[in-house]
Amino acid sequence: MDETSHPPLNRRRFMEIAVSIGGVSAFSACLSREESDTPTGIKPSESRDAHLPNRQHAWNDFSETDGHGNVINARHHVILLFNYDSKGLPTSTEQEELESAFRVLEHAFEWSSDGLLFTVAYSPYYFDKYDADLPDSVDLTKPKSLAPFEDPELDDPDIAIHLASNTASNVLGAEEALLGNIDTLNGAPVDHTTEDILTVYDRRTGFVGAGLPAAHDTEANGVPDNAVDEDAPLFMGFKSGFEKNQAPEDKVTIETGPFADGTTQHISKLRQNLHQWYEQDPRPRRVALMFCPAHRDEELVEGVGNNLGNTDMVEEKGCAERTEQDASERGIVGHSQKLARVRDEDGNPLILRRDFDTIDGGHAGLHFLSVQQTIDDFEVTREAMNGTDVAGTGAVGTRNNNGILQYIETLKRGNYLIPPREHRSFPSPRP
Amino acid sequence: MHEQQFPRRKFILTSTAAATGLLAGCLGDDEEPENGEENGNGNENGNGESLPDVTPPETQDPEEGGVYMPAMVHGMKMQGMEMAGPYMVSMSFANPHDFWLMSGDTTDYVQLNEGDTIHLMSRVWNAETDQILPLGGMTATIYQDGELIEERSMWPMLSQQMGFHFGDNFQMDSPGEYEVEITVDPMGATPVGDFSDGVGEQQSATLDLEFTYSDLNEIMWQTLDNSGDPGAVPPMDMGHAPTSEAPGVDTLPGTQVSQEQYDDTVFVTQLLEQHPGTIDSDNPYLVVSPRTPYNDYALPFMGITATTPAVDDTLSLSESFHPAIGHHYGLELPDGSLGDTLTLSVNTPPQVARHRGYQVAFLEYEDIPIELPETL
Repeated sequence: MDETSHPPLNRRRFMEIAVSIGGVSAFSACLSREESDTPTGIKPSESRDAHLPNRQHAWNDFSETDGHGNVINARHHVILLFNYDSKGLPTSTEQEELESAFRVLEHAFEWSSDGLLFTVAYSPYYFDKYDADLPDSVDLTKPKSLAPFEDPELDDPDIAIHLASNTASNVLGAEEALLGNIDTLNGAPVDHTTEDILTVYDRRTGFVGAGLPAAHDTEANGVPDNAVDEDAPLFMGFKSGFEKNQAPEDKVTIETGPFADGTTQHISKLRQNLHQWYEQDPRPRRVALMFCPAHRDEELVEGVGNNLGNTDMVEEKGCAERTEQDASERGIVGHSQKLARVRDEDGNPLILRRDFDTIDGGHAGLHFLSVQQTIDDFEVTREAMNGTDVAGTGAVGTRNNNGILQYIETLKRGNYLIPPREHRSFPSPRP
Repeated sequence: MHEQQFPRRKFILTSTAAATGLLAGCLGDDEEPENGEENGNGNENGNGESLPDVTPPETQDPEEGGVYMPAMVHGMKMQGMEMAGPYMVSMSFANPHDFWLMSGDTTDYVQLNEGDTIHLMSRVWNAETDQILPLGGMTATIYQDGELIEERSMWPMLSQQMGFHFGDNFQMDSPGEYEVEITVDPMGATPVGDFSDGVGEQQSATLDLEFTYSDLNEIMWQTLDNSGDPGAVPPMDMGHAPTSEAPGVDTLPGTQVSQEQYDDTVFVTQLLEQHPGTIDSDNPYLVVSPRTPYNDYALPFMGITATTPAVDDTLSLSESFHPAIGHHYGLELPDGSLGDTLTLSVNTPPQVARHRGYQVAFLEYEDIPIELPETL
């Protein structure tokens, strides 16, 4: 890599490239570049119940919030998709080994976005191995195409493990420990791993947070060089994850049955094509498409939108109710506008998003990830995002002027159940 | 400007015909190359060839708006056609073009950007009926030796020469051979009447793209003496492939109610005894078919509503497509509307990207009165 063809490898780029490459060397390189002061987790002698929530997805209380009360998603992410390839069902020995491998991570790192947050989830294909069905209290369906204009690959691994931390080497280290490639992790011995139990189906990496997308817009295809604002947490240039536009953790949690305190998880991969977005669409048009025409007309969004506070202001401006009207009368509908049409009886969105951008494969993209009480909650939300009801009333097309559909392609979809912590290691459908 | 041997071309002439002194090129192969071989954009390949300088001249749009003769006409290079489900998909390229995107009432100018290499275009028609369909979207995914090079959802566009098509300027690092997967989205407009299967689904086809700097330099383009005058370059001859003209007024089913030009748009309205689709209906069906003057192209992606004394509500017309009627905006008339004056409001002008000559037309509309007959 010569100096003239790439910008200097600043720290952010280095970390994220290391995460995207993975492996022991990348982990070591990362470790030597980052601050070594990472808070350790629970010693084997300490009471786990006192330190760890029963909900694997209880991340909000253990993450930072910004000045407006918005939870800040951890900056670095790895998703590992695994298969259990052995014939028959997992044995109790394997179950114990898997649980112990997870405890290594909890021993090594504090349960927090500065330490390590992670979830272990199981797909419908995993539960198919068993004779019994999942209880009615769990709505876990197989993934499918969710729009007439997409044709994604349907992921069918058995297990999805999502690792997240503000410290890149924590995420990389956790991965290497799980795979059995290192002996110690932040001082904790790695004496249990998935090495003899699971095989890797796929590996996905990414980042979210101010500065990170801008650090990668020269090398990633699909986004023009230097186009992304330094303050932008995501490639498309706007803040996401406003408090009021996220379902509260309580609302996405399964309430009854053996998987109470669990949740369902949807993981998809979107490819982003942002040359038009940055080189052709002027900013007012981008604001209208990302949020709502009203946001453009009233100039509500400054820069990446941190000024909006703890809400994207779409509901407050009555955008959702005007979706069809805006399609017909203004010829344009916004992404957030369409989503704001999906609310529960208390006015909350149905899904809690923990998605992040990626440069996997050398192309700008988004690993979309959300947790919700039922997979149906996700599908209803995605249907609103499709805006197929407003396309064809006139003006707004299938993708043309229809939120951000013009700029994304859905490549993969998968659905999973995140059990409560007590059932996270090879659960049966009726634990 | 020299005399040209024109291939068979189609004109729709109105009283202010713009036939004089113009030409419509098609394939660049038959024409002598005009300007543009020097003054490259600074993009030189190893053989010392440069991309042609395709900087558009100063725009001479008429201040009063309307459809006008653009500054230049262009050729293009065909890249073949393939079936995709019930559709035929064709692909071609030209040198990069500037154009205007529509964001509701406003036009957003898209300039030529550094690195723009080709204007890739694609047209899609129903293979059974040979009609260009107002599809909602199309994506081009470009590969070379299995590696993803570039992917974009192409803009739906309208140009005097090409009619309705999908296109965009692509930045290709080098000339050569590529595979382009064209994915066609289902139609957003409501299909009405008999249609082959597959129009409601996504369809795709792979076509080969091959271009060299010589190709780009050889593509014909020529300035027009009468640019800025009211008029339009006639539709480009597409050989056996269909062009975008709307069905002839005389061929439309039902009874004509009106055919009036309001500003720069010809509004043809028809009345059918009932909805021509499979829906059970007793009420007459109103067809509104707005067309460009001169070339008679259907204007897609408009937001049109209607009011009539018969009911209090504002009625939405539904963008639809029927094999005999073609693209139109349809409305089942409420009981008791016959004999009334129905008022059409175009709330949103056609949300299709505009090539030169169409960017100051089809933007704003006054309300249009339609006198409905007493009986059918």
